[in-house]
Amino acid sequence: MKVTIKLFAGLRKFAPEGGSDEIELELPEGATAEDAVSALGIPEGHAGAAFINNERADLTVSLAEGQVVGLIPPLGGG
Amino acid sequence: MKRSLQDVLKDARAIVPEVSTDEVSARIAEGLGKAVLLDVREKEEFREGHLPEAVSVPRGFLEIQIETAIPDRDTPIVAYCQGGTRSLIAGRALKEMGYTDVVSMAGGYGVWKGAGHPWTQDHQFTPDQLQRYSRHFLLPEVGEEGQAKLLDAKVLLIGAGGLGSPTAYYLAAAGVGTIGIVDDDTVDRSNLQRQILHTEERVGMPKVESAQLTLQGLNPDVKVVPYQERISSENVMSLFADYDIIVDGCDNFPTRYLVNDACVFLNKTNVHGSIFQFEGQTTVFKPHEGPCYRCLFPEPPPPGAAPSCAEAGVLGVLPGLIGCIQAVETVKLILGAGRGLMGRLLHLDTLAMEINTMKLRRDPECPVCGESPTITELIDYEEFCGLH
Repeated sequence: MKVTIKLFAGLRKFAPEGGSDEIELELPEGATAEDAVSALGIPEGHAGAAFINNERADLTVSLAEGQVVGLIPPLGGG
Repeated sequence: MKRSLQDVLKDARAIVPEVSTDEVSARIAEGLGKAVLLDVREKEEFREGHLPEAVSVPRGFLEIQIETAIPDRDTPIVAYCQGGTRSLIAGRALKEMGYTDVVSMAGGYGVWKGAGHPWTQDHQFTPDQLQRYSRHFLLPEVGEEGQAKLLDAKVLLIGAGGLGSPTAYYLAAAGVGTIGIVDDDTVDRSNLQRQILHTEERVGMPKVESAQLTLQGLNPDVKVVPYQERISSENVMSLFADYDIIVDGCDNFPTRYLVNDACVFLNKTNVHGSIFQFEGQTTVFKPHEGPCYRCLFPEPPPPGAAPSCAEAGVLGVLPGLIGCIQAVETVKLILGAGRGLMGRLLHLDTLAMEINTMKLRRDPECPVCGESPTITELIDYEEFCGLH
């Protein structure tokens, strides 16, 4: 199945080189948001909050074809 | 044909029934339901005292403003003025506009007050304040009542830096009556690219002192309370106790979790803002009604994973945008107006100029605001964030 991953703030550096921060990923059926995170090489604990189709979700949730997974890290600055 | 005042009033009485002040008092005691008490006197008369819950539309503005004030033509209206004459004439105008159920209170406010019925007085604005807040008074969502709420409000800002600067500026301009500011830092020249409260000649001055100078120069109505200290588990509860709303514009994760937990324990609303390079986030955490910071980010980022502005740089204008949104949300909370950002995370990317608004949810397993909380008192936040 195909899903789109959107990376925000400090996570944009994990986008494939020269590529956009909106990444189309081919994942096996039943794959979770966590699988998408490791497919992009984002180390454990760095992914921040996951949003599936703009709604906060757990990384362990199984994804479905066509979903958009946003990964937003906490921002430190003020 | 010449007609006297008596002729005009006679005609008006024929279509607008009069009721006594005792009858109005009895109606209020029964519960007004959908009925509206309409005060048609001048604003100055209304300010000096009026019936509780009365709506003010001066006779001179009646036809212009009544459809906004009372949109439904079948709303029962009890009109009154000072002596019972203007309300009778106003009542006739309302009938002509199609309002079906209008009565006029005979004797008016003068008889009402003289008979010992209850009355109330709104916030008394000075002539300077009437000028200063005149554009707020024109907005039905603010008005004199809302402005009085702003003047009575107490807001505590965490940080007088990039976010705290625009927030403090606009809250002071809006007339938020008490603004507390916590910051232990002094002004550095590298701050001036974004921290607009401060100036070149104040380099080296404590930030809270510089903030106080700027804000009191802008609006003498505002009481600025400086706290030149670092917020910690030791002082946070006493610092927050006196304030209605906490605005988090700090620059580190231990403080963010500390502010969150203290807000949950004290049931204070936390208006959150945070920034990184070209991107910012803001939301409103209302304990036990919406999610908290830990529902959004249960774990702090690993040390070094989310660098500060000093480490990673920041576009100077960015905190201006996020801090202004925090100020808007704070003002809306005070007024009880509009739809707040509670339960929604606004993420702004200034390079793409894109705003994403994400839906948040309360985490039933949240360690502070969940169903079975495991954190019930303040902890060591440096340790929690792996900084020891």
